[in-house]
Amino acid sequence: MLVSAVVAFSALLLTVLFMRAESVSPQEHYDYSKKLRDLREADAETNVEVLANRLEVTRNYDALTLFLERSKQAATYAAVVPAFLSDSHRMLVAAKARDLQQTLDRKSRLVEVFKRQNAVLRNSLAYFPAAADDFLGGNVPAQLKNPAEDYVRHVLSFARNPDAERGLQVAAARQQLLAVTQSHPARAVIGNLVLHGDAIMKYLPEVNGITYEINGLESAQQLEELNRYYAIGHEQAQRSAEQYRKLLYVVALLLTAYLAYVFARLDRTRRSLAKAHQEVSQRYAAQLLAEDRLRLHSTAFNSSHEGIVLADAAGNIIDINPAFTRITGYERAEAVGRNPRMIKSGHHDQEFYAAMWKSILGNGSWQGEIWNRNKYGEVYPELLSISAVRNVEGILTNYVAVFADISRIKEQEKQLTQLAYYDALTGLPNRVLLADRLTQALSQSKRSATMMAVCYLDLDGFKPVNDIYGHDVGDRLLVEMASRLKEILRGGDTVARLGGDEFVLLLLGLKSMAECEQAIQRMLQIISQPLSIVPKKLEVTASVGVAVYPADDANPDTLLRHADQAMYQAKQAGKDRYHIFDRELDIYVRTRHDHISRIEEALANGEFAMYYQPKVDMRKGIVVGLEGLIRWHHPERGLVSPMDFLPVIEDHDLIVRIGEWVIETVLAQMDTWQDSGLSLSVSVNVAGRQLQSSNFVQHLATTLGKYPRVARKLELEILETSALEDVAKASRIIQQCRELGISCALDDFGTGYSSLTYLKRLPAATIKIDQSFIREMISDPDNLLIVQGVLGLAFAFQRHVIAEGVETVEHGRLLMQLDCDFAQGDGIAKAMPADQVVDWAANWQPYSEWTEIRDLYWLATDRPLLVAKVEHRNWVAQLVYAFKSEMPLPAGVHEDHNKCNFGIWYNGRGISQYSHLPEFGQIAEPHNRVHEIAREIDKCRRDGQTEKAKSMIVELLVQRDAVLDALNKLELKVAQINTGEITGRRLIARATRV
Amino acid sequence: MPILSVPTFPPAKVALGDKLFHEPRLSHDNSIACASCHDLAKGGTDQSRFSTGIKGALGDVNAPTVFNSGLSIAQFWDGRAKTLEEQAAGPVHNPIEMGSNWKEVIGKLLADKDYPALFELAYHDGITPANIADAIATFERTLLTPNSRFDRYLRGEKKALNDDELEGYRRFVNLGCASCHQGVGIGGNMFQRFGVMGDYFEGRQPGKADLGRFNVTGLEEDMHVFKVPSLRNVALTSPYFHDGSAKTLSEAVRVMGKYQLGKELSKKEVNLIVAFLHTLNGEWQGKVLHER
Repeated sequence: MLVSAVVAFSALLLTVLFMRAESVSPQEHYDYSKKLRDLREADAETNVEVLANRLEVTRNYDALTLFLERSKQAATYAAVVPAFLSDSHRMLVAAKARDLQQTLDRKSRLVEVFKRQNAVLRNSLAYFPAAADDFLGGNVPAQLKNPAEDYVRHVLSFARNPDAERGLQVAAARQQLLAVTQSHPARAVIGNLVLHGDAIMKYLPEVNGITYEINGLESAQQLEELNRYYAIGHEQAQRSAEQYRKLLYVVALLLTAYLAYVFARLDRTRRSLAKAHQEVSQRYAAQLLAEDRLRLHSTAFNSSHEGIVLADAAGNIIDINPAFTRITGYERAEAVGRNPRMIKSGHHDQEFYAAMWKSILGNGSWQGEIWNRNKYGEVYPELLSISAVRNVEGILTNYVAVFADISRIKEQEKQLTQLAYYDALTGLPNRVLLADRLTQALSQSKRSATMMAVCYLDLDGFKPVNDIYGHDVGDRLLVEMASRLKEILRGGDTVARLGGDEFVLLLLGLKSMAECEQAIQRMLQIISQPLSIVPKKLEVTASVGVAVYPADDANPDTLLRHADQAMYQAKQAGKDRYHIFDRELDIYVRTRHDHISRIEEALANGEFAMYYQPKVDMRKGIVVGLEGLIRWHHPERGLVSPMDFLPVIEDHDLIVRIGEWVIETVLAQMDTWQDSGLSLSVSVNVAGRQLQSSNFVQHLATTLGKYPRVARKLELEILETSALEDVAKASRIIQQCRELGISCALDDFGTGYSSLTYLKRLPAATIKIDQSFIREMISDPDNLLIVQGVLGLAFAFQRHVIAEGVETVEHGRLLMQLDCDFAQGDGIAKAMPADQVVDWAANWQPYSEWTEIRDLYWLATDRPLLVAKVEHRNWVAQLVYAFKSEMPLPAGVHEDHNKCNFGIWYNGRGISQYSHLPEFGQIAEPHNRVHEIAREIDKCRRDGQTEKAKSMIVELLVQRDAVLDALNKLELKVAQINTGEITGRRLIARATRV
Repeated sequence: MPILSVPTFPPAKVALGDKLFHEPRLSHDNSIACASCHDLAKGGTDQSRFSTGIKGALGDVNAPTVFNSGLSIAQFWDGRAKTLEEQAAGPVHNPIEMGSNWKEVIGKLLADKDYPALFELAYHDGITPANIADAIATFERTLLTPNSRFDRYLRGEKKALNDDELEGYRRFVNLGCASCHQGVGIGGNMFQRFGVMGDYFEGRQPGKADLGRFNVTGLEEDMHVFKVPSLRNVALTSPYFHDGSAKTLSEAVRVMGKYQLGKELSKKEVNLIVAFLHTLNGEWQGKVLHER
């Protein structure tokens, strides 16, 4: 009674606690987190696709539409917050999700407009120059020609650099042009030209604006906030569930203890009963089992198809089974007591038996094929296995031998080979065997560097023989031809029949073309000898096509095809002759061969050396690794860069050997460094051909095995473009390397834009942003945008990023501001010989401009501030450039300082974001000065005071630096405000990601 | 521009959708079915300028093809329905099309001897507006027309297009048609203004249908903006444009050149492009759709 009451109450309590403890569903959490991740990816891809379409790398909107749709769907899902969050957190997350949805709605609208305007713009940009060329190239009267040319030039200049000043120039030129053409017959043509010019003027700034707006939308940041609030909410729900779980555990424990006590009492009495019962039944079962086993063994022994011999320690036969008798002919009575030596065939020597006994006594067993002799004196092959049996003390007591007669298998094997590899009629090798021989012959010729000819021979006029005299005669003719061809073969050569009247001859070890042609002449001659197999005299001839290796350095299939093609040409040219495949190719390959052999020599002479360029973490101020770069110490040409010799051997096996040399050298170097206390990861470049070579991973594993101390610190760099040639294969190889503990990086990333789509499928751990983008990003806003796009993508896919081509302090600083901390480039250190690396690494210090911002972070919303700085630098650079090359000065010179791109930012977004900070106000003054000076320079130049203008350029640069300094101060202030908050956010983001 | 492949959908829903698609009882007087204006034997259209609804009422837009409609970014010329499901409800309720409503339709379907069982088979909750729309939409999603000669050309079958058609394709890209008519659907994934390079509506009083996407967004900048239609099977779906004003493909191409590209296309250019457009006829149920 008491027991059932306690149990009922506990069950109720446990149920309640269980419900509370399990309220946080891991599935729901996983689903929701995954949606947020999908959202992040789709959103980043949308931005990238907009960019790709704007830059015309992609020319259709399918992917853009798909990613946008996907991110909107994911956002809808994200708005339904998991129920396990507490009410307050749920509301917070839902509010963030609504903000995000609004932003995405806005993005959706912008993308819709982008698509249609970008399409129109693209057409006009493409059509305008062509239409202008057509018009101006025709017969145009002078009074029209100048204004039209002016107009076209200004529009094209605007198309390259759409600023306000160029806009005004176009407007002026347009007016002038229209004025002149008012009554001119060419009015319609000009009108059409202006129509497209107008489209460019209208849509180019609009599309650029939309592109910037889309990329500047705060969706990524809102998503991050959403993620953060969700993470906090989830963690709290988790925590309270945890409490209930502990309580559940305690209650369950108490209940268990109580039940254990009850059961223990019951159990004690039952156990003594059960024990007695169990002992009896166990003994019975064991006996039955033993009997069964004996019966089983005896059945196996007697019914086995394989002969079995049991012998004692001295080797005398104790017992044999019926199969033994069937195979050897000896009855049981004849065999027992004798030594198995009685069936020895005498086919094997002493050594054979000695090795056999050594194996039996050493390893306990021996297995192999052996020839024995049966009672009737016949010798037959058997597959024999002998085991030594030892007792518990390890003393040898018996031998067991099991064998099978394999004479029939052997016979069948032989027949099958004949059928599969030889032509039934002529006994010549068939197509299958030919393929094998051809492959072997080819590698043999490669090894011995000799020529090989593949001759495709087709009989002329064989069909009439068949038709007139019947197949019987036809067959005999083929047999005759086969034996004639066999006659002229030398050792190593092959003649095969492909079927019908087609034969292929492989001639190996040829020294010259002359020798080759001689051999073929002989072939034609011997074929055309009269035949005696029919009453009437009969003659046939042959057409032969020849492909010669190495002139034709192709794979076996291609060689055969080339020979076939050449045979057709021989037929076309009138039969009874031969034709050799493509001679020009021959000459080309030979010259290329010279270059290659010089590089091959360099490898053999040890003229190559490895240089190392450091990679650093700018934020932490530490060296994180090195990239190994090959150099050629050429005895005449001095230090040769890889660009000057690697492309020559790109498609040659030599590059694989050089790649292997590089890996081996770098590993050895790492091992040496390890001794002097330097332990850095080193990356090496892997060429496409090397990566695709069949045994790349296997070879790599072997090399790594030689340097176990440093093996895991090797990293492979794969060119993005070579990874794209065969994405599936590249991804497989990267995966296999990962299993070896070797990580891979995608090199020169961004140069093949379509790769963004494939990034997901390539499991490379690291992305190296191509140096061309990094170099230009501080002066070209477009490149900055691309770098941002790549970084966003890398973050979404959770890959490491390293920037190549950091040449100045400013490059590094901007990268750090964009949250990209790893970098390499001449601004940090040039590639250096191995012996300088240790010293360099010990002495390297990051620039003070970097340490200064080490603990600071900028938000996505601050990106326009960074862009504005680039715009300003760009504007001044253009002005200086224009001045030096005596071209018109850029926009904004004549107008006030609010019209340049920097000014537009300053008076628009800048004010609304930062006007509360005193540092923001400090920028206005030097910026005004920059424009004042620019105007004066312009004026001086117009007045012919070139020297004065020149001297003012210095002043201009001083003021530019003042603007940049003031901007730096603002950036620092903004980052200091952000940073307190953001470090906390990062910790949470990191925690949820783990 | 990649290639279509036909996905598979639950057969019970597809079969039901097929039946509903041809069901005149979706209209008030049992005279008009979806298939009346989207005749699968006529390229998925009715090949008339405007469609005729119940009691002979004449519509105000040209009926777009139902083939490949599942690939489009949105439905109707002005994109007012985001999905095919949303679209299906439109004509049922439009007084000059089917002039009915869900309540009336469901009443008729319930009284039928087959429908209740068929719905039971495909859906757990029987005949509902959502399920009717879902079945029709699912059926429509199967109406893809792959393996046009152009698809085959893109897949590497270089002989699938003759010299003229190939030249037409080049003009199609270089003249700029492919700036809007791109992607899998060769159009259908964006909106564009009708009259980018000239006022198409000049000299006429635009009706409501002529306002285009403005009707959906209310934004001035969306005035006369329409969905860029897919050009797959375009040779079968005359007349052309939302107002059905172009009777022939040649005329449509000329108008597009003038108002969208700002170019007077030569007779030769028009002929080449038209030749190319004829290679876009795809296969349905394993047979090439033919021009009648």
